[in-house]
This record gives sequence, structure tokens and C-alpha cells, in this order.
Amino acid sequence: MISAKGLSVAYDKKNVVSNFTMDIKEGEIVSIIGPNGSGKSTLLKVISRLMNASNGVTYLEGNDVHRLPTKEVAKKLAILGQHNHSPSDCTVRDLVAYGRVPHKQWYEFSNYDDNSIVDWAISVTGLQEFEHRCVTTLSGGERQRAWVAMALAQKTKVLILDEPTTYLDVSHQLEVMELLKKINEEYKMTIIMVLHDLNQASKYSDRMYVINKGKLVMQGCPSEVITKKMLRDVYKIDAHISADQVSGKPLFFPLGLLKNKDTKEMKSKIV
Amino acid sequence: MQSQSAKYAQFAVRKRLAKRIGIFIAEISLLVILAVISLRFGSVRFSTGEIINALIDGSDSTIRTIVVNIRMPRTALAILVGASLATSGALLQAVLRNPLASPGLIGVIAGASLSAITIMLLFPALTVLVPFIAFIGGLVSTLLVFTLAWKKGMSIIRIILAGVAVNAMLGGGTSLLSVLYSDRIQGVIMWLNGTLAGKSWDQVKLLLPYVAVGLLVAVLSVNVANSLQLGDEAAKNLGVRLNLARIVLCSTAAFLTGISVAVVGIIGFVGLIVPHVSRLLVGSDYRFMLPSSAILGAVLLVSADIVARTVFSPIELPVGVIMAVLGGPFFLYLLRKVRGYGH
Repeated sequence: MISAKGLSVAYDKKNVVSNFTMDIKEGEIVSIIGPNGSGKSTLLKVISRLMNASNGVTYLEGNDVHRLPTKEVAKKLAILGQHNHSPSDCTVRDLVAYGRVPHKQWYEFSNYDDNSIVDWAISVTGLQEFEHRCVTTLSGGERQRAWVAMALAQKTKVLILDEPTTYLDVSHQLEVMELLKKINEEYKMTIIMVLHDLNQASKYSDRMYVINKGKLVMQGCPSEVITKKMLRDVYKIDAHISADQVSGKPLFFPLGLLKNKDTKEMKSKIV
Repeated sequence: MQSQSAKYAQFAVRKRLAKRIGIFIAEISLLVILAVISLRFGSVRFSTGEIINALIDGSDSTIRTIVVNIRMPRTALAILVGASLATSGALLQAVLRNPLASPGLIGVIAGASLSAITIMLLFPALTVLVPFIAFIGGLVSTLLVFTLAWKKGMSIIRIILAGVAVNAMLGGGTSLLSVLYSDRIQGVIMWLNGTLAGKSWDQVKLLLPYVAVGLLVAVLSVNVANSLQLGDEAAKNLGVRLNLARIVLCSTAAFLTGISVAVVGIIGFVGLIVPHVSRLLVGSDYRFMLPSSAILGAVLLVSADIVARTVFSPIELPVGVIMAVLGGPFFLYLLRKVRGYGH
């Protein structure tokens, strides 16, 4: 579905992402994790053609995403950024209807099909009762669902999200994650996202990519990725890891930061 | 429960649409009424009946001459220029996502002023060429702003900063010339404050095709303008080619302002205030907001022109001055009255 080969991105000659390679299959939920400033968001922007790579290529169904007409990409891939803002009088329905823009010529108005797709996106995200409320008056979780609904109305096969649960309380976080899972299961959408909450990433992802200082550290299913060693190496924390009784997926509980001495010891061990 | 909320929803949608249509009807009626008033008032007053009679059977040739050759082109020009300036401002506010964006910001007005004043003060013999040279000057300085703002693509903040800097430089040039040639400045003042005095059908004919093209491009880009309001990344996600969209919309705005300023002189304010008024009335959806801006721009300029030529008749005031004096308080009133605007 989406694959990246040897991606590098540089800001002012400093590499933010270097030589990153990934391959994502249709229907997968993949999350990208890593510490702050590790290049996760940059990576998402590059694979969704919002930013140019200085090296390497991203393929969307076999075509270079940067060479495809941007409108064609918009019909196949939707990306939801971290900070979104809508005009103060924009209702949920107005916002969701913008998702139809890539499917329209500049002279076309929305037709019956567009309206039913908008209806569908609103009902999948459970926003029927808020349909005519202004997006800016909604709570954080509802607002995030409205933006997801807009992305759904684009009718793409791939949905990319940058920290979709940041700033939300735990129940709204779960609500958004459950929604994404439902979209993935029922409509076979491929989902790629950056997440900060490792337990959520573990619970909801088929596969995870770990990125640190712009480099791919490891990738694999949650039980391969969420390990004591990874948490020590990448996040510099000491943690206890157990398995979720229902799903068998790994859960971690942070015990504390590694002391400087430990870090040094660890480094010397690696060397 | 479900059906009840659906019913309520349907009602809400209809209510909003009805409100928007109502406002459009009101705006258009207002424009028609003002256009009629504009034909009636001036140094001589006519009744609507007299005008209609004169137009239909040509009984009184004096009325006919005044109405057809003087007041009609003047009113038509006010409509075209008002619509162009307001549309230009609305487009720029979409691209620059800044409430202070106006046609003045991208250098077109400052460039037109400097080139026009240079001709009028230094080469008075070439004054006939002022519209042409002002237009070119406006476009050149806009191009300068864009070139300075371009660095692997065009960022909003760079356009705004480059615009402010270019405006300051060109404005300095204009001030310098008016100080150095203060003895000749009298003839330039009307132009610098914008005036519709002494305009004929020639200017209307000159303006009409360009304004038509500019407005057409503007109307066709409402979807792009709407997407741009969601932010750069969201717009790009929706398949908008950001740099292309910015260039097309800014050039259209510069073109509409440049051609208007070239013909009638500097009229600020319309491009800044009217899009806000329009947004307060019909909301920020450009499918409604843009046409409403065009109509309101025409309304504002026609009414300002009526005031400009009647209050101190027979002395004509520059229309730009009237606009600022009357439009400012009106806008502040709206700003205070409409809750939730500016958040």
C-alpha cells in the first residue's frame, strides 16, 4: 500500500530523518512511536506529500507520491495533522463536506452522492446530534471525531494521523482509538499514526515502528517492540512489562528514569 | 428521538439557508435603491419619474444627457470598483488567513500610488497615461512582494512581512515626492484619495472586461478559498496545490485592485472592511461570502459617492475620505453587536 525507501529529510542541512525505510500493507494499523523530536511527525508529513524529502522515495500503490497529482493523492490518502482549526461558524456538516473537495472539479457543486457520503461519515463517527453545531463549540474529543469524519468523507484507502489522542482525556482517547479500530475493521482502511501513549499503540496496532533521532530503531508486532531493552535504549526509562490478559499484547508500567550512571553503563555495554 | 433530532437538523439547515438568501435579497435591493438615488441626486435633483420619462421617450434632453452621460457611468463605475476592491480583499483574507489582509498589504496600492504621483508631479505632460502607468506600477510592486516572499514556496508570514516592507519603501518615495513638489501637490490630492468625478463611459468600457474576468476567476475559486481557511496542511490534504492557489488568488486580487486604482485613484478601506461585514452577515463560507462581499463593496462605494458629491455640493469630496468616515463607525458597530466575532 505505502512504502518508503531510504527517506531522508534535512532542515538546514541537519538530518531530521535519515535513511528511513518502511513498508505498510493494505488494511494494517501501524503506529510510529519515538521520543519528542525524533522525527515522527516529519516522517508522516513526507509520506503524505505535505513535505518534500531530501532523499528517498515514498510509494503509494506503487507510484511516487510526490509525482502523483496532489488531487489524486487526496483521493487515496487522507492526513489529519496535530493542530486543526476551522472558521468559527463552520458546522460539523460543513467541515465534513470539505472532505468531498478532492472529488470535485472547480465548477462542480455537491450532489446527492456527496451528501450521502457526508451522512455516512457523520454516522460512522457518531456525530449525528452535533451535525449542525459549530466545530469550535465542541469538546476536544468530538472535534477530533469531526476531523476524522472529514477525512472519511474523502473516501481514501489510507488514513494518516498525527497524535490523534493528544490533549484528550482518557475516555475520549479511547473513543477515538475505538473509532479508528472500527474504521479499520469495517471499511478496511489502512491506518498509520504517530502515538505517544505506548500502551494504546500496543493495544491497537498490528505493527509498530520505533524511530529515534531520525533513524529506524526497530519494527515489528507490539510484543516484539515493547521490550525493556527498547524502553531503555530509546526512552531512557526503566519499566515493568506484562501482558494484557485479554489480548495478550504487552503493557508497560514505567518505574522511573534511568540514572545517568545506568545510561553510561548501558552505552559502554553496547560499545 | 432520532427522527426528532433529524427534523430539528433539517430545520436548522433550512433556517440558515433562508437567512443567507434573505440577506442576499436585501443586499441586492439595497444596491438597486442606491443606484436609483445615485442617478437622482447631484447638483440638480430629478425625480424617479422624470428620469424614467427622459429615458423612455427622450422628452427632456437635458435630463437625459445628465443622467445617461454623467450619472450612469459614474454609478456603474462605483459598482465595478466597489465590487472589485471588496472581492480582492476577500480573496487576500482567504490566502493570508489574516483579518488585517487587504489589497493594500501586497504592495499593489503603494506601487500604483508612487508611479501615478511620479507621472503627475514630474511629467505632468504625460498625465493621460496615469491609469496605464499606475496599473503597471501596482503589478510590478506586487511582483516584487511575491519575489521577496518566495523561498522554496510562499509562506504567508513572508508575504505579509515583504508586503509591509515594500509598502514602507514605496510610501517613503510617495511622501518624498509630495514634499519636494509641494507646490504641485494640489492636483494630486483628489487622485490620492480616490474620486469618481468626471468619469465617463470610456472608463466603464475600459474597466468592464477586466473586472468581469477577475470576478469570474474569484467566483470559480470559492472551493479553494474555503479549503485554505482550514490551514495549509488541511488544504494540501484536500488536494489544493498551495503555491499555485496562492499565486492565482493573490494575482487576481492584485489585478482587480490595480485596475480599479488605475481608473479612480486610491480607495482603501473597502477591501479591508467589506469582507468582514460580509462574513458577519452570511458567515465564512466563500460560496456565500464572496458574492456578498462584491455586492456590499458596490453598495458601500455607491453610497459613499452619493455623499461625496451632495453634502458640500458643489464642492466634491474625495470618495475615499467619505468611506473611511462613514464606514469605520458602521464596522465598529457591527463588531460590537455581533457576538462571537473575532474569536
